[in-house]
Amino acid sequence: MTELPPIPLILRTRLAHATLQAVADDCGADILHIKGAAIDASIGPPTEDPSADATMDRLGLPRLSADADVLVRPAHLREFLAALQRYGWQAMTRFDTGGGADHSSDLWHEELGWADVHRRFPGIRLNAVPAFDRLWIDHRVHPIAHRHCAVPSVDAQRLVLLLHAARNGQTRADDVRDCWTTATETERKRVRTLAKELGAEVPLASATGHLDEYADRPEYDLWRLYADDEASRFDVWRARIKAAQTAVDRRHAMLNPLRLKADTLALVLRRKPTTLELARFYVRRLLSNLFDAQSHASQRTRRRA
Amino acid sequence: MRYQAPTGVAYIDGADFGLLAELYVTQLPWGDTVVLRGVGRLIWLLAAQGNDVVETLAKIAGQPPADIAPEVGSFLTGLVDRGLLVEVQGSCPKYELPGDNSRVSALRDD
Repeated sequence: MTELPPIPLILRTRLAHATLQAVADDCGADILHIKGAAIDASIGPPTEDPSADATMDRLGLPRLSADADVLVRPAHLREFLAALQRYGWQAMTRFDTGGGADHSSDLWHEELGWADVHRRFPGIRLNAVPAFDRLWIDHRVHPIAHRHCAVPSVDAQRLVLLLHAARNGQTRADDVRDCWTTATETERKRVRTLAKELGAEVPLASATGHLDEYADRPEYDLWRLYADDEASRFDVWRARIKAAQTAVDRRHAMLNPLRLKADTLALVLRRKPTTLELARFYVRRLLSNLFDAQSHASQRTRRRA
Repeated sequence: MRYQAPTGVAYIDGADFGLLAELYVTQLPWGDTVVLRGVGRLIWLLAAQGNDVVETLAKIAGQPPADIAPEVGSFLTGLVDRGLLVEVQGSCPKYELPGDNSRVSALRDD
């Protein structure tokens, strides 16, 4: 054995998935591994002329992900996070760090890198509790780094990738191809049905080029803007408010630009920021948001003129 | 003596991903990871597959088993002590790893 060098990302995330499952098993939490290494080999283009000794992962063209993503049963979230901390994972961002990213928390392990722990998945409007129940009903087991990990059904995996693609615009075209374009009509029908159950029809439509069919939905603007690489922060902010499902969510979306996101800065600096750094960061963000709002107002004035 | 990978480890081999032939073994749930290269990697993989490590390694190296048994045995004991392998009493069904059939010949090239 030799001193541990930096573990290659494609291996590190897989070991992270296996470790997260072990922590979940230890504390009795239900988790579902999503994206990256958790994706079934049947989703995606097959490797042409694979070698005779190709492993299962090579046959499936392993997906590269920067972190290990898991979705946690809401009732088990607190215990799971506590267990992760016991086993050396540091929470680097809180769930309410905002930016609309209040669905997940980033954790860091010195050897295994990043984990993204989701309490819900962007695009699924169904309440997190029944949403997880629905995904859990037909979950399956998928070995990652020789550890059996719980993953959603293949249909749900397709849907999650498509929701992710809708959120990340043009950069995720490969996922759309793998999960939709090359899918059979039967597979697509199952994904559409599942999307309806989870309240995810609008982002699915966005990913698959049918967003305008949902122009009357409150979340339509938000998913239209996600697909626009030049969407302004101000427009996204307004769209988040419009898409909010409850008064609490609406208030959270409205106040988000005013929140002091200390952990976001800590992530960038890779350390705890000083008070002065926090103050500068906060002022810069406020000014940037203000400038964005003013630009938006100016554009509207010019259009009216 | 036969061995197998403990249930409390995860492991992944760079060679399966077109990377360097480095085996990473992670102890769960802490995530403490070690890397095994060269002969150490070979020994662990052979052991985890339920092979008679000394016999198989001797065949690969073209040496009498007795010549390598003490060192290999010592290394295996170290792996067991660190929780990276477990001893299996009696006969052990071979643990089939993906791509297992060519594993030994592939390891010869290390």
